[in-house]
Amino acid sequence: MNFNYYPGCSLHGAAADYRMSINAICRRLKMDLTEIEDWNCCGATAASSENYKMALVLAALNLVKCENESELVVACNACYQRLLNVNSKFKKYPAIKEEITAVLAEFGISGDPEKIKVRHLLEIFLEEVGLEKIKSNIVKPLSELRLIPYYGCMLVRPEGFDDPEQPTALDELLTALGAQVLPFYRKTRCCGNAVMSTNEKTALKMIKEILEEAHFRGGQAIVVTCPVCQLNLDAYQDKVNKEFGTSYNIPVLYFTQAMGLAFGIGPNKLGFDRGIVPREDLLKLIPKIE
Amino acid sequence: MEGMPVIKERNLHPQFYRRVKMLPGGEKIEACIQCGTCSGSCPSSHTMDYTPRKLIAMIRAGMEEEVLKSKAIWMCASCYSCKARCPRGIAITDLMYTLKNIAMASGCGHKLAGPVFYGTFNRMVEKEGRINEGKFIVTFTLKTDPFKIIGMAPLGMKMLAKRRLPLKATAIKNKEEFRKILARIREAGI
Ligand code: SF4
Ligand code: SF4
Repeated sequence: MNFNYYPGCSLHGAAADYRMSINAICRRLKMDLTEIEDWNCCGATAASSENYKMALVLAALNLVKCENESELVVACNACYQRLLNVNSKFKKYPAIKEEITAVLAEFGISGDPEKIKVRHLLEIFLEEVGLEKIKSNIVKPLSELRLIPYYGCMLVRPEGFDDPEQPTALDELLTALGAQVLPFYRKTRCCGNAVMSTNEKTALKMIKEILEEAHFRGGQAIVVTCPVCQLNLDAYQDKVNKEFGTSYNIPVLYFTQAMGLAFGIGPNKLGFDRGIVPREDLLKLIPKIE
Repeated sequence: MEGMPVIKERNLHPQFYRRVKMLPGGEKIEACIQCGTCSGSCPSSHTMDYTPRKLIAMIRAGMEEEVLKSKAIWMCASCYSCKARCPRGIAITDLMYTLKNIAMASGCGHKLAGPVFYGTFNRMVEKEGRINEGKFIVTFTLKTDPFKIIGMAPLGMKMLAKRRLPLKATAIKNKEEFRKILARIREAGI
Protein backbone atom coordinates (compact mmCIF):
# COMPACT_ATOMS: atom_id res chain seq x y z
CA MET A 1 0.00 0.00 0.00
CA ASN A 2 1.34 3.36 -1.05
CA PHE A 3 0.15 6.77 0.17
CA ASN A 4 1.06 10.42 -0.29
CA TYR A 5 2.12 11.68 3.10
CA TYR A 6 2.20 15.10 4.75
CA PRO A 7 4.34 14.94 7.93
CA GLY A 8 4.09 18.58 9.07
CA CYS A 9 6.65 20.56 11.06
CA SER A 10 6.21 18.76 14.40
CA LEU A 11 6.97 15.36 12.96
CA HIS A 12 10.22 16.77 11.65
CA GLY A 13 10.81 18.41 15.04
CA ALA A 14 9.68 17.74 18.61
CA ALA A 15 7.64 14.68 17.68
CA ALA A 16 10.63 12.56 16.76
CA ASP A 17 9.09 9.62 18.64
CA TYR A 18 5.88 9.84 16.61
CA ARG A 19 7.94 9.81 13.40
CA MET A 20 10.00 6.83 14.53
CA SER A 21 7.00 4.77 15.57
CA ILE A 22 5.11 5.56 12.36
CA ASN A 23 8.09 4.44 10.29
CA ALA A 24 8.51 1.26 12.29
CA ILE A 25 4.90 0.09 12.12
CA CYS A 26 4.43 1.07 8.48
CA ARG A 27 7.43 -1.06 7.61
CA ARG A 28 5.85 -3.94 9.51
CA LEU A 29 2.48 -3.45 7.74
CA LYS A 30 4.21 -3.01 4.36
CA MET A 31 2.84 0.48 3.91
CA ASP A 32 4.77 3.14 2.04
CA LEU A 33 4.23 6.73 3.10
CA THR A 34 5.82 9.00 0.51
CA GLU A 35 6.40 12.57 1.67
CA ILE A 36 5.04 15.07 -0.83
CA GLU A 37 7.76 17.09 -2.50
CA ASP A 38 8.84 20.24 -0.65
CA TRP A 39 5.71 20.48 1.54
CA ASN A 40 5.23 23.68 3.55
CA CYS A 41 3.79 24.47 7.00
CA CYS A 42 -0.01 24.19 7.19
CA GLY A 43 -0.21 27.49 9.09
CA ALA A 44 -1.71 25.85 12.22
CA THR A 45 -4.02 28.27 14.05
CA ALA A 46 -1.70 31.22 13.34
CA ALA A 47 -2.32 31.80 9.64
CA SER A 48 -6.10 31.72 9.96
CA SER A 49 -5.90 34.09 12.93
CA GLU A 50 -4.19 36.73 10.83
CA ASN A 51 -5.59 36.17 7.36
CA TYR A 52 -7.92 33.31 6.44
CA LYS A 53 -6.81 33.47 2.81
CA MET A 54 -3.19 32.92 3.84
CA ALA A 55 -4.34 29.79 5.70
CA LEU A 56 -6.15 28.49 2.63
CA VAL A 57 -3.19 29.18 0.34
CA LEU A 58 -0.74 27.40 2.65
CA ALA A 59 -2.97 24.34 2.70
CA ALA A 60 -3.79 24.48 -1.03
CA LEU A 61 -0.09 24.66 -1.94
CA ASN A 62 0.40 21.28 -0.29
CA LEU A 63 -2.70 19.71 -1.79
CA VAL A 64 -1.86 20.63 -5.39
CA LYS A 65 1.39 18.70 -5.02
CA CYS A 66 -0.66 15.50 -5.06
CA GLU A 67 -2.06 13.95 -8.20
CA ASN A 68 -5.75 14.57 -8.87
CA GLU A 69 -8.14 12.07 -7.25
CA SER A 70 -5.43 10.84 -4.91
CA GLU A 71 -5.34 10.73 -1.13
CA LEU A 72 -3.10 12.59 1.27
CA VAL A 73 -2.36 11.02 4.65
CA VAL A 74 -1.69 13.30 7.63
CA ALA A 75 -0.57 12.27 11.11
CA CYS A 76 -1.00 15.56 13.02
CA ASN A 77 -4.56 16.51 14.01
CA ALA A 78 -3.92 20.22 13.45
CA CYS A 79 -2.39 19.79 9.98
CA TYR A 80 -5.15 17.31 9.12
CA GLN A 81 -7.87 19.80 9.94
CA ARG A 82 -6.13 22.68 8.12
CA LEU A 83 -5.70 20.63 4.95
CA LEU A 84 -9.19 19.10 5.15
CA ASN A 85 -10.70 22.54 5.60
CA VAL A 86 -9.82 23.75 2.09
CA ASN A 87 -12.44 21.53 0.52
CA SER A 88 -15.38 22.71 2.62
CA LYS A 89 -14.29 26.36 2.49
CA PHE A 90 -13.93 26.29 -1.31
CA LYS A 91 -17.39 24.76 -1.60
CA LYS A 92 -18.95 27.27 0.76
CA TYR A 93 -17.19 30.35 -0.64
CA PRO A 94 -16.78 30.08 -4.44
CA ALA A 95 -15.53 33.68 -4.65
CA ILE A 96 -12.65 32.92 -2.26
CA LYS A 97 -11.84 29.79 -4.22
CA GLU A 98 -11.72 31.80 -7.42
CA GLU A 99 -9.44 34.43 -5.89
CA ILE A 100 -7.00 31.86 -4.53
CA THR A 101 -7.00 29.77 -7.69
CA ALA A 102 -6.24 32.94 -9.68
CA VAL A 103 -3.25 33.84 -7.48
CA LEU A 104 -1.84 30.32 -7.80
CA ALA A 105 -2.37 30.43 -11.56
CA GLU A 106 -0.25 33.61 -11.76
CA PHE A 107 2.62 31.42 -10.59
CA GLY A 108 1.80 28.64 -13.01
CA ILE A 109 0.35 26.44 -10.29
CA SER A 110 -2.69 24.50 -11.47
CA GLY A 111 -4.36 21.53 -9.88
CA ASP A 112 -7.59 21.37 -7.95
CA PRO A 113 -7.22 21.05 -4.17
CA GLU A 114 -10.81 19.81 -3.99
CA LYS A 115 -9.81 16.67 -5.89
CA ILE A 116 -7.54 15.48 -3.08
CA LYS A 117 -8.93 13.41 -0.25
CA VAL A 118 -7.29 14.29 3.06
CA ARG A 119 -7.21 11.47 5.61
CA HIS A 120 -5.77 11.00 9.07
CA LEU A 121 -3.36 8.13 9.67
CA LEU A 122 -5.69 6.61 12.29
CA GLU A 123 -8.47 6.54 9.70
CA ILE A 124 -6.15 4.74 7.27
CA PHE A 125 -5.37 2.05 9.83
CA LEU A 126 -9.05 1.49 10.54
CA GLU A 127 -10.49 1.79 7.07
CA GLU A 128 -7.73 0.76 4.66
CA VAL A 129 -5.43 -1.57 6.59
CA GLY A 130 -8.26 -2.92 8.74
CA LEU A 131 -8.33 -4.25 12.29
CA GLU A 132 -8.04 -7.85 11.12
CA LYS A 133 -4.68 -7.25 9.50
CA ILE A 134 -3.53 -5.26 12.50
CA LYS A 135 -4.58 -8.07 14.84
CA SER A 136 -2.70 -10.61 12.76
CA ASN A 137 0.52 -8.69 13.47
CA ILE A 138 0.12 -8.73 17.24
CA VAL A 139 2.68 -10.77 19.13
CA LYS A 140 2.38 -9.07 22.51
CA PRO A 141 -1.22 -8.17 23.34
CA LEU A 142 -1.43 -5.13 25.61
CA SER A 143 -3.85 -6.85 27.97
CA GLU A 144 -2.15 -5.56 31.13
CA LEU A 145 -2.44 -1.92 30.04
CA ARG A 146 -5.29 0.36 31.10
CA LEU A 147 -5.33 3.11 28.50
CA ILE A 148 -7.07 6.46 28.17
CA PRO A 149 -8.04 7.21 24.55
CA TYR A 150 -7.62 10.94 23.96
CA TYR A 151 -8.58 12.32 20.54
CA GLY A 152 -8.27 16.08 21.04
CA CYS A 153 -10.39 18.51 19.05
CA MET A 154 -9.03 18.65 15.56
CA LEU A 155 -9.23 14.99 14.69
CA VAL A 156 -13.01 15.23 14.68
CA ARG A 157 -13.96 18.93 14.64
CA PRO A 158 -15.20 20.81 12.75
CA GLU A 159 -15.20 17.87 10.36
CA GLY A 160 -13.63 14.45 10.28
CA PHE A 161 -14.25 10.75 9.96
CA ASP A 162 -15.77 10.09 13.38
CA ASP A 163 -18.25 11.58 15.86
CA PRO A 164 -17.34 15.20 16.75
CA GLU A 165 -17.73 14.67 20.51
CA GLN A 166 -17.70 10.97 21.34
CA PRO A 167 -15.63 9.26 18.62
CA THR A 168 -14.71 5.58 18.87
CA ALA A 169 -11.97 4.96 16.27
CA LEU A 170 -9.08 5.06 18.75
CA ASP A 171 -11.06 2.98 21.29
CA GLU A 172 -11.56 0.34 18.60
CA LEU A 173 -7.90 0.29 17.60
CA LEU A 174 -6.61 0.02 21.19
CA THR A 175 -9.19 -2.68 21.98
CA ALA A 176 -7.93 -4.62 18.96
CA LEU A 177 -4.41 -4.40 20.43
CA GLY A 178 -5.79 -6.20 23.47
CA ALA A 179 -5.62 -3.22 25.82
CA GLN A 180 -8.18 -2.32 28.46
CA VAL A 181 -9.64 0.88 27.04
CA LEU A 182 -11.16 3.06 29.74
CA PRO A 183 -14.25 5.20 29.28
CA PHE A 184 -13.18 8.82 28.96
CA TYR A 185 -15.72 11.61 28.96
CA ARG A 186 -13.19 14.31 28.01
CA LYS A 187 -11.85 12.42 24.99
CA THR A 188 -12.38 15.41 22.69
CA ARG A 189 -12.00 18.22 25.23
CA CYS A 190 -9.39 20.71 24.01
CA CYS A 191 -5.85 20.40 25.43
CA GLY A 192 -5.40 24.18 25.20
CA ASN A 193 -2.22 24.21 23.16
CA ALA A 194 -3.33 27.16 21.02
CA VAL A 195 -3.33 29.41 24.10
CA MET A 196 -0.37 27.84 25.96
CA SER A 197 2.08 30.60 25.06
CA THR A 198 -0.33 33.51 25.31
CA ASN A 199 -2.51 32.53 28.24
CA GLU A 200 -0.68 29.89 30.20
CA LYS A 201 -3.07 29.80 33.17
CA THR A 202 -6.04 28.88 31.02
CA ALA A 203 -4.04 26.28 29.12
CA LEU A 204 -2.78 24.69 32.36
CA LYS A 205 -6.35 24.44 33.63
CA MET A 206 -7.39 22.74 30.41
CA ILE A 207 -4.53 20.25 30.71
CA LYS A 208 -5.33 19.65 34.35
CA GLU A 209 -8.93 18.74 33.60
CA ILE A 210 -7.78 16.05 31.19
CA LEU A 211 -5.11 14.66 33.53
CA GLU A 212 -7.59 14.76 36.40
CA GLU A 213 -10.10 12.55 34.64
CA ALA A 214 -7.37 10.25 33.29
CA HIS A 215 -6.11 9.78 36.85
CA PHE A 216 -9.63 9.35 38.24
CA ARG A 217 -10.34 6.61 35.69
CA GLY A 218 -7.18 4.76 36.68
CA GLY A 219 -5.41 5.16 33.35
CA GLN A 220 -1.77 4.06 33.24
CA ALA A 221 -1.17 6.11 30.12
CA ILE A 222 -2.93 8.55 27.84
CA VAL A 223 -2.87 7.61 24.16
CA VAL A 224 -2.97 10.44 21.62
CA THR A 225 -3.18 10.87 17.85
CA CYS A 226 -1.49 14.28 17.56
CA PRO A 227 1.99 15.70 18.26
CA VAL A 228 0.51 18.95 19.55
CA CYS A 229 -1.69 17.20 22.14
CA GLN A 230 1.24 14.94 23.04
CA LEU A 231 3.63 17.75 23.80
CA ASN A 232 1.04 19.74 25.68
CA LEU A 233 -0.14 16.89 27.91
CA ASP A 234 3.37 15.47 28.42
CA ALA A 235 5.63 18.48 28.87
CA TYR A 236 3.51 20.59 31.21
CA GLN A 237 2.63 18.07 33.93
CA ASP A 238 5.24 19.63 36.22
CA LYS A 239 3.71 23.06 35.78
CA VAL A 240 0.19 21.74 36.31
CA ASN A 241 1.34 20.09 39.52
CA LYS A 242 2.91 23.31 40.73
CA GLU A 243 -0.13 25.41 39.85
CA PHE A 244 -2.77 23.09 41.32
CA GLY A 245 -0.85 21.24 44.04
CA THR A 246 -1.38 17.91 42.27
CA SER A 247 1.12 15.13 41.56
CA TYR A 248 0.24 13.82 38.12
CA ASN A 249 2.84 11.72 36.39
CA ILE A 250 0.98 10.08 33.53
CA PRO A 251 2.90 8.94 30.44
CA VAL A 252 1.51 10.15 27.12
CA LEU A 253 2.02 7.85 24.13
CA TYR A 254 1.20 7.93 20.47
CA PHE A 255 -1.24 5.30 19.22
CA THR A 256 1.49 4.22 16.83
CA GLN A 257 3.79 3.48 19.79
CA ALA A 258 1.05 1.31 21.32
CA MET A 259 0.75 -0.52 18.00
CA GLY A 260 4.51 -0.95 17.83
CA LEU A 261 4.66 -2.46 21.33
CA ALA A 262 1.89 -4.92 20.45
CA PHE A 263 3.73 -5.81 17.23
CA GLY A 264 6.77 -6.67 19.33
CA ILE A 265 8.93 -3.85 17.92
CA GLY A 266 11.76 -2.76 20.22
CA PRO A 267 10.90 0.30 22.35
CA ASN A 268 13.99 2.19 21.18
CA LYS A 269 12.78 1.89 17.58
CA LEU A 270 9.53 3.53 18.73
CA GLY A 271 11.21 6.47 20.46
CA PHE A 272 9.73 5.16 23.68
CA ASP A 273 12.49 6.71 25.79
CA ARG A 274 11.66 10.21 24.56
CA GLY A 275 8.67 10.95 26.79
CA ILE A 276 9.06 13.94 29.10
CA VAL A 277 7.10 11.92 31.66
CA PRO A 278 9.01 8.62 31.53
CA ARG A 279 7.11 5.81 29.83
CA GLU A 280 9.53 3.02 30.72
CA ASP A 281 7.42 1.60 33.59
CA LEU A 282 4.78 0.60 31.08
CA LEU A 283 7.22 -1.81 29.47
CA LYS A 284 7.06 -3.99 32.60
CA LEU A 285 3.42 -4.65 31.73
CA ILE A 286 4.16 -5.92 28.23
CA PRO A 287 4.46 -9.72 27.93
CA LYS A 288 8.04 -10.95 27.63
CA ILE A 289 7.38 -13.85 25.25
CA GLU A 290 8.71 -13.25 21.78
CA MET B 1 -16.02 38.29 32.82
CA GLU B 2 -17.77 41.57 32.17
CA GLY B 3 -21.36 42.58 31.46
CA MET B 4 -22.35 44.15 28.18
CA PRO B 5 -20.69 47.55 27.93
CA VAL B 6 -23.07 50.49 28.03
CA ILE B 7 -22.32 53.00 25.28
CA LYS B 8 -24.05 55.86 23.54
CA GLU B 9 -25.99 55.12 20.37
CA ARG B 10 -23.88 57.52 18.34
CA ASN B 11 -20.83 55.40 19.14
CA LEU B 12 -22.32 52.29 17.56
CA HIS B 13 -21.20 51.19 14.12
CA PRO B 14 -23.90 49.32 12.19
CA GLN B 15 -21.50 49.07 9.25
CA PHE B 16 -19.28 46.82 11.42
CA TYR B 17 -22.16 44.33 11.75
CA ARG B 18 -22.70 44.49 7.99
CA ARG B 19 -19.00 43.86 7.35
CA VAL B 20 -18.78 40.88 9.71
CA LYS B 21 -21.85 39.31 8.08
CA MET B 22 -19.98 39.25 4.76
CA LEU B 23 -16.97 37.37 6.18
CA PRO B 24 -16.49 33.67 7.06
CA GLY B 25 -18.38 32.74 10.22
CA GLY B 26 -20.39 35.95 10.19
CA GLU B 27 -23.03 35.08 7.65
CA LYS B 28 -25.57 33.52 10.01
CA ILE B 29 -25.14 35.52 13.19
CA GLU B 30 -28.48 37.19 12.59
CA ALA B 31 -30.01 33.82 13.49
CA CYS B 32 -28.31 33.60 16.90
CA ILE B 33 -30.91 33.07 19.64
CA GLN B 34 -28.51 34.01 22.45
CA CYS B 35 -28.96 30.59 24.06
CA GLY B 36 -25.40 30.56 25.42
CA THR B 37 -24.62 26.98 24.32
CA CYS B 38 -21.39 28.27 22.79
CA SER B 39 -20.25 30.01 25.98
CA GLY B 40 -21.22 27.01 28.09
CA SER B 41 -19.24 24.64 25.83
CA CYS B 42 -16.18 26.86 25.61
CA PRO B 43 -13.15 25.68 27.64
CA SER B 44 -11.78 29.19 27.93
CA SER B 45 -14.90 31.37 28.23
CA HIS B 46 -14.28 31.68 31.99
CA THR B 47 -11.24 33.83 31.25
CA MET B 48 -12.82 35.89 28.47
CA ASP B 49 -13.90 39.45 29.12
CA TYR B 50 -16.89 38.82 26.85
CA THR B 51 -18.10 35.28 26.19
CA PRO B 52 -18.77 34.13 22.61
CA ARG B 53 -22.53 34.68 23.06
CA LYS B 54 -21.95 38.23 24.30
CA LEU B 55 -19.54 38.97 21.46
CA ILE B 56 -22.26 38.07 18.97
CA ALA B 57 -24.75 40.38 20.68
CA MET B 58 -22.12 43.14 20.66
CA ILE B 59 -21.38 42.66 16.95
CA ARG B 60 -25.07 42.87 16.15
CA ALA B 61 -25.31 46.04 18.20
CA GLY B 62 -22.39 47.51 16.25
CA MET B 63 -19.91 47.75 19.14
CA GLU B 64 -16.92 47.70 16.84
CA GLU B 65 -14.20 48.99 19.14
CA GLU B 66 -15.32 46.99 22.15
CA VAL B 67 -15.31 43.77 20.14
CA LEU B 68 -12.02 44.35 18.34
CA LYS B 69 -10.23 45.44 21.50
CA SER B 70 -11.59 42.60 23.60
CA LYS B 71 -9.17 40.08 25.02
CA ALA B 72 -11.73 37.34 24.43
CA ILE B 73 -10.98 36.90 20.75
CA TRP B 74 -7.37 35.98 21.62
CA MET B 75 -8.47 33.47 24.28
CA CYS B 76 -10.18 31.25 21.72
CA ALA B 77 -8.29 27.95 21.46
CA SER B 78 -9.97 26.99 18.15
CA CYS B 79 -11.45 23.82 19.62
CA TYR B 80 -14.67 24.01 17.59
CA SER B 81 -16.82 22.85 20.54
CA CYS B 82 -19.08 25.87 20.10
CA LYS B 83 -19.48 25.27 16.40
CA ALA B 84 -20.28 21.60 16.91
CA ARG B 85 -23.06 22.43 19.34
CA CYS B 86 -24.64 25.69 18.15
CA PRO B 87 -28.34 24.99 17.49
CA ARG B 88 -28.41 27.63 14.75
CA GLY B 89 -25.43 26.28 12.82
CA ILE B 90 -23.30 29.34 13.41
CA ALA B 91 -19.59 28.80 12.69
CA ILE B 92 -18.45 30.60 15.84
CA THR B 93 -14.82 29.45 15.57
CA ASP B 94 -14.61 30.91 12.06
CA LEU B 95 -16.24 34.06 13.39
CA MET B 96 -13.52 34.27 16.06
CA TYR B 97 -10.89 33.94 13.31
CA THR B 98 -12.61 36.67 11.31
CA LEU B 99 -12.59 39.01 14.31
CA LYS B 100 -8.87 38.30 14.84
CA ASN B 101 -8.28 38.97 11.14
CA ILE B 102 -10.00 42.35 11.32
CA ALA B 103 -8.25 43.24 14.58
CA MET B 104 -4.81 42.32 13.23
CA ALA B 105 -5.38 44.16 9.94
CA SER B 106 -6.40 47.32 11.80
CA GLY B 107 -3.59 47.06 14.35
CA CYS B 108 -6.09 46.71 17.20
CA GLY B 109 -4.59 45.28 20.37
CA HIS B 110 -1.30 44.78 18.56
CA LYS B 111 0.57 44.70 21.85
CA LEU B 112 -1.43 41.79 23.26
CA ALA B 113 0.34 38.43 23.38
CA GLY B 114 -2.11 36.86 20.90
CA PRO B 115 -1.41 39.00 17.85
CA VAL B 116 2.34 39.02 18.56
CA PHE B 117 2.30 35.24 18.80
CA TYR B 118 0.45 34.73 15.54
CA GLY B 119 2.42 37.44 13.75
CA THR B 120 5.76 35.94 14.82
CA PHE B 121 4.66 32.48 13.70
CA ASN B 122 3.43 33.70 10.33
CA ARG B 123 6.58 35.75 9.61
CA MET B 124 8.67 32.63 10.29
CA VAL B 125 6.47 30.59 7.95
CA GLU B 126 6.78 33.25 5.26
CA LYS B 127 10.53 33.30 5.64
CA GLU B 128 11.34 29.59 5.88
CA GLY B 129 8.19 27.81 4.73
CA ARG B 130 8.29 25.68 7.87
CA ILE B 131 8.37 26.13 11.63
CA ASN B 132 11.17 25.11 13.95
CA GLU B 133 9.26 24.90 17.24
CA GLY B 134 12.17 25.69 19.53
CA LYS B 135 13.35 28.67 17.53
CA PHE B 136 9.80 29.99 17.27
CA ILE B 137 9.09 29.85 21.02
CA VAL B 138 12.38 31.56 21.85
CA THR B 139 11.78 34.34 19.27
CA PHE B 140 8.26 34.92 20.57
CA THR B 141 9.30 34.95 24.23
CA LEU B 142 12.13 37.41 23.58
CA LYS B 143 9.59 39.74 22.00
CA THR B 144 7.04 39.59 24.78
CA ASP B 145 8.65 38.62 28.08
CA PRO B 146 12.43 38.09 27.85
CA PHE B 147 12.73 37.18 31.54
CA LYS B 148 10.44 34.23 31.00
CA ILE B 149 13.26 32.56 29.03
CA ILE B 150 14.93 31.67 32.33
CA GLY B 151 11.77 29.95 33.55
CA MET B 152 11.58 28.03 30.29
CA ALA B 153 15.10 26.65 30.56
CA PRO B 154 14.27 23.52 32.60
CA LEU B 155 11.73 22.29 30.05
CA GLY B 156 14.10 23.21 27.20
CA MET B 157 16.84 21.14 28.79
CA LYS B 158 14.50 18.18 29.24
CA MET B 159 13.42 18.41 25.61
CA LEU B 160 17.06 18.48 24.56
CA ALA B 161 17.93 15.52 26.77
CA LYS B 162 15.06 13.53 25.28
CA ARG B 163 16.30 14.42 21.79
CA ARG B 164 13.13 16.27 20.94
CA LEU B 165 14.58 19.70 20.18
CA PRO B 166 16.18 19.63 16.76
CA LEU B 167 18.60 22.52 16.46
CA LYS B 168 19.00 22.12 12.76
CA ALA B 169 16.94 24.71 10.88
CA THR B 170 14.21 23.37 8.68
CA ALA B 171 13.13 25.13 5.50
CA ILE B 172 11.55 24.53 2.13
CA LYS B 173 13.59 24.63 -1.08
CA ASN B 174 11.45 26.85 -3.26
CA LYS B 175 11.44 29.84 -0.89
CA GLU B 176 11.40 32.62 -3.40
CA GLU B 177 8.21 31.69 -5.18
CA PHE B 178 6.58 30.72 -1.90
CA ARG B 179 7.25 34.16 -0.43
CA LYS B 180 5.89 35.89 -3.51
CA ILE B 181 2.67 33.88 -3.40
CA LEU B 182 2.09 34.75 0.25
CA ALA B 183 2.87 38.41 -0.38
CA ARG B 184 0.29 38.46 -3.18
CA ILE B 185 -2.35 36.99 -0.88
CA ARG B 186 -1.60 39.46 1.90
CA GLU B 187 -1.86 42.33 -0.57
CA ALA B 188 -5.40 41.20 -1.39
CA GLY B 189 -6.44 41.84 2.23
CA ILE B 190 -9.26 40.03 3.98
S1 SF4 C 1 -24.82 28.59 20.57
FE1 SF4 C 1 -25.33 29.59 18.61
S2 SF4 C 1 -27.43 30.39 18.89
FE2 SF4 C 1 -26.62 29.89 20.95
S3 SF4 C 1 -25.74 31.85 21.68
FE3 SF4 C 1 -24.07 30.69 20.71
S4 SF4 C 1 -24.05 31.41 18.57
FE4 SF4 C 1 -26.02 32.04 19.45
S1 SF4 D 1 -13.60 27.42 19.35
FE1 SF4 D 1 -12.96 29.12 20.66
S2 SF4 D 1 -14.87 30.16 21.24
FE2 SF4 D 1 -15.44 28.15 20.44
S3 SF4 D 1 -15.57 26.84 22.26
FE3 SF4 D 1 -13.49 26.60 21.45
S4 SF4 D 1 -12.25 28.12 22.54
FE4 SF4 D 1 -14.42 28.69 22.85
